[in-house]
Amino acid sequence: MASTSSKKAYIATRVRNYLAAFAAILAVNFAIPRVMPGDPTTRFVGPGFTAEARQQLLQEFGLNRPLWEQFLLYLTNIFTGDFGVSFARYPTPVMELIVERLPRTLYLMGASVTISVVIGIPLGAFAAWNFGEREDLITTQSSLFFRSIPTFWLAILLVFVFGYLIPIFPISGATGSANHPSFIAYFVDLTYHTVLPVVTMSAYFLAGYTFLMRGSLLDILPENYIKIAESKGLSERQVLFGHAVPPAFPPVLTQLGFQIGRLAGGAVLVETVFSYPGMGQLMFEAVLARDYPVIQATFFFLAIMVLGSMFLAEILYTIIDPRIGGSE
Amino acid sequence: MSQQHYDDGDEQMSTAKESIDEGSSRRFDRFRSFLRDFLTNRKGFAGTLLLGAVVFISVAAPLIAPYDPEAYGVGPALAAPSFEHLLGTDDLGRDVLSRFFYGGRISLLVGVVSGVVATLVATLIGVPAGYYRGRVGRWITTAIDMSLVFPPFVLVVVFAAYAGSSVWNIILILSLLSWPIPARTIKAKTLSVRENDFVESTQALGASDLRIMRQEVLPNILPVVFANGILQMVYTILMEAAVGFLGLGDTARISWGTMLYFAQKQGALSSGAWWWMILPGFGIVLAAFSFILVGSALDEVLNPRLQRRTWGDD
Repeated sequence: MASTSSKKAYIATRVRNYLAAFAAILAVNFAIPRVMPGDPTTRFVGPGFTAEARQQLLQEFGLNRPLWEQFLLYLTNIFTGDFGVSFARYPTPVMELIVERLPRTLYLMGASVTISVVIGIPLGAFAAWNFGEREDLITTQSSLFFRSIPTFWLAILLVFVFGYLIPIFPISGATGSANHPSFIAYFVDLTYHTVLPVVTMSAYFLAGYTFLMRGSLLDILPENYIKIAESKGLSERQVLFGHAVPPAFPPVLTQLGFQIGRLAGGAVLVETVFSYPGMGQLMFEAVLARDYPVIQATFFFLAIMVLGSMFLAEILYTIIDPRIGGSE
Repeated sequence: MSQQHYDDGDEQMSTAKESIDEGSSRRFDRFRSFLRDFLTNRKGFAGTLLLGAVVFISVAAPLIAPYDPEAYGVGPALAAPSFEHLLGTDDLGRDVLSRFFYGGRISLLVGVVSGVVATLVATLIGVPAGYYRGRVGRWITTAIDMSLVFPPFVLVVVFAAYAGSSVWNIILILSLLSWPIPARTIKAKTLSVRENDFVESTQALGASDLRIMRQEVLPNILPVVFANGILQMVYTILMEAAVGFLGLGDTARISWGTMLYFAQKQGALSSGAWWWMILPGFGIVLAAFSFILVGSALDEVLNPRLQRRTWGDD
């Protein structure tokens, strides 16, 4: 009884913090185009717009009204999904671009995280189990090395190798054809096109999780209950995966949540090199074209994606970590 | 074994001179034994050598560069490596090796300065977050957690779009955006130091919070702060390179990132000019790898086993 209520209290605090973070994203996103040097109206009205369109947009965003009214209008627009009109692709609504791109980036990031975790966690456990031996040295030193390779440079190298030397994987785009007979055909095509981007993104994070898991497990291994499990005559594998890995995993998961912000940055670079039409590429193109409404919306959604993923990681953490609120 | 004897000898000597300068001699001994541990650490040794090489080529660039890095047409355009141009030339006939030597300067400048500033900010925020119990601590922690939701690199790109990106703008942005993760680490370490008896006894003596943080907490967390700061530079070096690669950096200055930007833009790979793409990337890897080796060696030497306790502190 008591344990479930403290778990509830814990979750309530966390949810409150996430709501506060959401408010912070809304505020920062509102502030950025208004506090930066230059004429703020140029951030909402494109250079080639007719006087009529200009007037309509000024009206829509309330740019000629007091700041608090602008903020209310901004909130209303966001909650009704109105992010204005793209300058570069006038008159496409920004929301239309986002809806098209967002799932692709989610897929790219999701696949990369999954691969990093599925390979990195056992690899880190393997290194910790062989602490100080050759297997451990090779694993840790190569993960430090992979951690120092710039994501975009690895992407370029992969494009060079697979685009020019051994052309077996596509080096650009998200799909080969525009029409697919079924969702499965689309999914297969998408997966084939994302092999190289996912490998690029995974390399950096895989190395990170390997290192984190190793460190976390090295903290657990000297504990008494591991020695007891060993002395009971359990096999190495049973001790490692049955007793040592479960308590070592939650801290890694927490850290994983923090690093998702870096994952979003990685998406900008990887999507740009591989011409993958996702949120990152959309944002970069918008930056080059000074397409301010698109910049603002992509930033907003990338930040929301990071927030959502952190929240997800935290929920998982709460479910699997027996220390929070006590078990049973 | 022999090290043990050495230490004992030093100990006796310092006892003999105790009345003269006990403090400074102790400190010197501690520094010497730290240096010995650090350089006998495999990563520490390799990292120091690599870092030395990177610093050397950056500082000595004017002396060792065979050509003026900015001069056009010192050779034919896109010439493959030869004896005249050891690493070939770019599309404007500039010497790639000379540009490579100069390119490290911006990487090191941006990486080191913004790493230092970010670590200072992280310390100023992380220490009170861990020191104050109750409402104040919780508020600061919430602020740190909220800052984590803003993806730093994405924000750098956004700022570059609005504010332009001189080298100092990039340093400013990187410093202001990359403190939250180290701040959490520092907070966690402060929490554990705070539980120690000497902190509580100083409190009982009526020392002010500021004084305790400065005189009791800070010296004890300094090793963590230091190792973290070096590792932070790995991240800022990689970010600077990425900003340069996207063409959002100061394209008038030579940096490894902007070299790659121009190479990519001019289709270096499709025209087969691999030498133009390989070397700058290699420079970034070298710089980042040397910092990561030095940082993790420092971590092992200064913070034996405690570093790993720095997460999951809620």
